Amino acid sequence: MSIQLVLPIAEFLLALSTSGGAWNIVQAVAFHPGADALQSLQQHWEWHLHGISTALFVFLAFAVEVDEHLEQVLSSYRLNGHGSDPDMLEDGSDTFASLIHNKFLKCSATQSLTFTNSEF
Amino acid sequence: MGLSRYVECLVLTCLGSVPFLAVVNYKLDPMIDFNACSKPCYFVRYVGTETLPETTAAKLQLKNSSFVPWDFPVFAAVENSRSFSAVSPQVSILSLPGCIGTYPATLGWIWSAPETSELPNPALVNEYVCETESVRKKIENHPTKGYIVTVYLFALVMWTLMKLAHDWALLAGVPEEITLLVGVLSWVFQLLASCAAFSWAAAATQVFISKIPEGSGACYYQLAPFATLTALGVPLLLLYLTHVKMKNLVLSLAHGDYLHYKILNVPCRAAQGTAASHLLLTKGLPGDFNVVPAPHQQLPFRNVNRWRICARSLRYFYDFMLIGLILPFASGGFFLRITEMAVSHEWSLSPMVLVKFFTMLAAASTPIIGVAFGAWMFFTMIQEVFSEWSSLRDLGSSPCPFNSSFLLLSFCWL
Repeated sequence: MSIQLVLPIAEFLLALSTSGGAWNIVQAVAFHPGADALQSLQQHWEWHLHGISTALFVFLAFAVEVDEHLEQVLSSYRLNGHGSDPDMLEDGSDTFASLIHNKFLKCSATQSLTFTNSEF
Repeated sequence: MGLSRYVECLVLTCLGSVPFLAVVNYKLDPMIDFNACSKPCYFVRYVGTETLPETTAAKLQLKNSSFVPWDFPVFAAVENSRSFSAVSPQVSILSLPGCIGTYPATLGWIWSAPETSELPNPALVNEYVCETESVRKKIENHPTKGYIVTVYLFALVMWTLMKLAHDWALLAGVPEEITLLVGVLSWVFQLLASCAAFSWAAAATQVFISKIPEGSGACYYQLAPFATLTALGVPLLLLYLTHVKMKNLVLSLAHGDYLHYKILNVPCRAAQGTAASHLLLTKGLPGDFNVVPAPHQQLPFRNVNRWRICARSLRYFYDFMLIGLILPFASGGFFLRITEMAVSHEWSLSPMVLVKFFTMLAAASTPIIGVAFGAWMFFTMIQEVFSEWSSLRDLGSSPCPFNSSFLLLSFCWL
């Protein structure tokens, strides 16, 4: 099961389980301001737990693969017939940027890119 | 011109670190920055120190037999001139937040130091005594004691020095393999500083003690709202900057290293034309006259692959620090304090209105975003089912949509 499916399900379950607590907090802040609302120990413990759940929720929402971008570059390089093992490239002159450059020259006819060959 | 850029880099880098240094070194005023716990102050301390022990039933001297084991951290309420009260985490498979809450308590139980003393009894003091200047002057600023502040200051200084070394090296034309390494080291120290800042701020959101010489009692205090918000702002800002830096570091592996000390402004159309998803950055855009192309990044492809592995390892390390330490130990206390402040203030035209709005937004974000995620998942799957159905119809198969995807969709939605 891919992470793209697991994350939304985890988010959804977490959202369901915290919806009651969320409503209680919104109600307390919006409709019952004042010192009287600060009396219950159990209520405060629930707020504390809701804080942890919310932080976890925000983390999951932003849990994108930051190296997805590099992966994209590498896989597009492989797909364009430059081999499957990047370590095979021993030649230091065959730089990463020039590979991207070649890739774009090769694919410029098929992709809707705004770059022109004169820019390279 | 060349030298002025180095000086500008030095000044801006140091200025960027000053607020983070100033907050932990700020000397709190005992008469202004603390509110006595004349009403209950709620907190949980998972790991204790000599100044403020952990909130276990044993350390709180609770006689109720429901708190088993005795050295398991519990959520406590303290009020001057009254005894402690507490509630222990309850594990239930029906309550996901409850399950999440037991994780830091269990870790605190494992890490607990049995040699620390008991928490001084608030029932032995008079609440009027706690307001006197002589007692307030003895409030112990426990977050600044211990090794956490030392770690924080060390990480902050190293982060600043590494940033400076990185930017100077980049300006001097040092090969990017070296500047990228220095940049990654700078990020590691920034993450370390974030973790230490969260630990410091978590302690600051708890209670402060002023021991009364007569007897074994003590007065308890909490930080005033403004001081609390300042203490919470530092780690949150530092973590945000760490997150942004990590994303930029990964981008710099693909497109070339960048200066950390300043944000370079570019026209909007250029930014849109060089979006990260296009995998290429250029100096010029079509339509510009005499466009000078940007030089290629001179990083060998083989090294990029190694950096990619390094970046992924850093990401896992970052996730571990967030999920394993920062979120469970600090976020609960942060949210609790902010919610308390939001609830205890009436609606009025004051800055506290912003806190109230923020709290409501943060509390409501979970169900709202969760439902949005569910809806997004639902519509994505509907789209896939229909595209699959259309392709099957084109092939002359049965147009029945009740295939495996549809059943999976129905199951997930239900």
